[in-house]
Amino acid sequence: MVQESILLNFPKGLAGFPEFKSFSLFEPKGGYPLKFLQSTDQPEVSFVCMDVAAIKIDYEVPLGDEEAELLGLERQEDALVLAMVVVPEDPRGMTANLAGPLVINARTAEGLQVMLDANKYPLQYPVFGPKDEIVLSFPKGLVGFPDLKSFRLFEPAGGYPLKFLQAVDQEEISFTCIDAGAIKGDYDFALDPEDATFLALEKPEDALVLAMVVIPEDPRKMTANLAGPLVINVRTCNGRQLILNPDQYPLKFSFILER
Amino acid sequence: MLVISRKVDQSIIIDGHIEVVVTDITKDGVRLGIIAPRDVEVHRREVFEAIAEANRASSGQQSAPVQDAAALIRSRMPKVRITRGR
Repeated sequence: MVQESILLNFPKGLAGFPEFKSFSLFEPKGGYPLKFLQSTDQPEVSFVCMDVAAIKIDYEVPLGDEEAELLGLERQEDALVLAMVVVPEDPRGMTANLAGPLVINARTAEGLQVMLDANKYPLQYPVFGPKDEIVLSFPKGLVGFPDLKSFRLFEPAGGYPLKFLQAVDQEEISFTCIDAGAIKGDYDFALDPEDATFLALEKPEDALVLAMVVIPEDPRKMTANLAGPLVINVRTCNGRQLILNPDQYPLKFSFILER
Repeated sequence: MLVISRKVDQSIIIDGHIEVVVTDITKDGVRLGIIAPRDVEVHRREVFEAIAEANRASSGQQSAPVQDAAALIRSRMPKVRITRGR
C-alpha cells in the first residue's frame, strides 16, 4: 500500500499522453482511497486514480509476456493495480476505468497502462453503485434463525469487500458475508425447482450469491461457508439460504490461505 | 417422542401430506424415502446444524476487526495474471 509520494516511471507514457513518462503518486490529504498521479514534468497534468482492489476484488489484469517483461514483474504480490477515476459533479456517480488499468511494479516503480478489451472490461465501472444499503426479505429466515426475515445489507465503513447482513428487527444480530463468486470464481450449484420459482431469477446479473464469513483472531485464517450460500434476487430483494452438501461445498473455505 | 415400529415398504404419514417410507434396512442403517410437497424442506440433521452453527459463528462479534480482514482480502485477491500470447 502506498503511503507517501512515490516516483513512478511509465516508459511508454499513458494512453493519449505518450510524452509523460515520470509521475509522482500520492494520496491527497483526507483523500483515501483516491490517489493522484501527477506528471513531474508538468505538474498541472494529474490524474485521479484508485486501487482497483478497493472496488472489485476479483479483478485480474491479463498481462502478455512482453508487458510482464517490461514491468519486470516476478511475483504477483509486487503488482499494484490502479484504475483511472472520473469524478462527476455528484461524486456518488464516480466511475473507474477498468479497461485501461495502470499496472505498477511496486518494487521497481515501473508502470504501464494496459489496454484491455472494453467489451469485457468496463470503461465506466461504478465505484459506488452496488454498495448502497438494500433491505432484503428472507421469508424462511436463515438456517438456525427462522424468525429473522428482514435484513439490511450494507458495506461497513472501510469494509469492502465484506458486507454486513443485519436483522431489521434485532439490530444486534448481524452476519458478516462476502460475494461468493469473488472469492471462488468457479463456485456454481444447481437451484432446485422450488428455490428457482421462489427466487424468480430472470437474468444472471439479478443474482447475488453471498457466503457467510468467520474472522478468527488471525484474519489470514478467515473462512467462508460455501455450503450455505445466500442467494438473493437484487431486483425483487428476495433471498433464501440454501443448504448444499458439505462433502461437495466446504463449510469452512479458507479463501486467503488457499490462494 | 412418538415411537412407531415399521417394516420395509411400510410408511407413516405426517400432517396428512408428508409420507416417510422405510425403503431398506441393513446392519448399517435404515434408508428412508420422503414424499413431501416441494416447499417442505428435508435435510440431514447434522448438515442443517453445521450450517446453523456456521451462521452463528458469522454473526455477532468477530475475533479480529472487520476492517483489518477486509484490507487483508483486498491485498491478497487477484491482481495480474501473466498469460502467453494474449
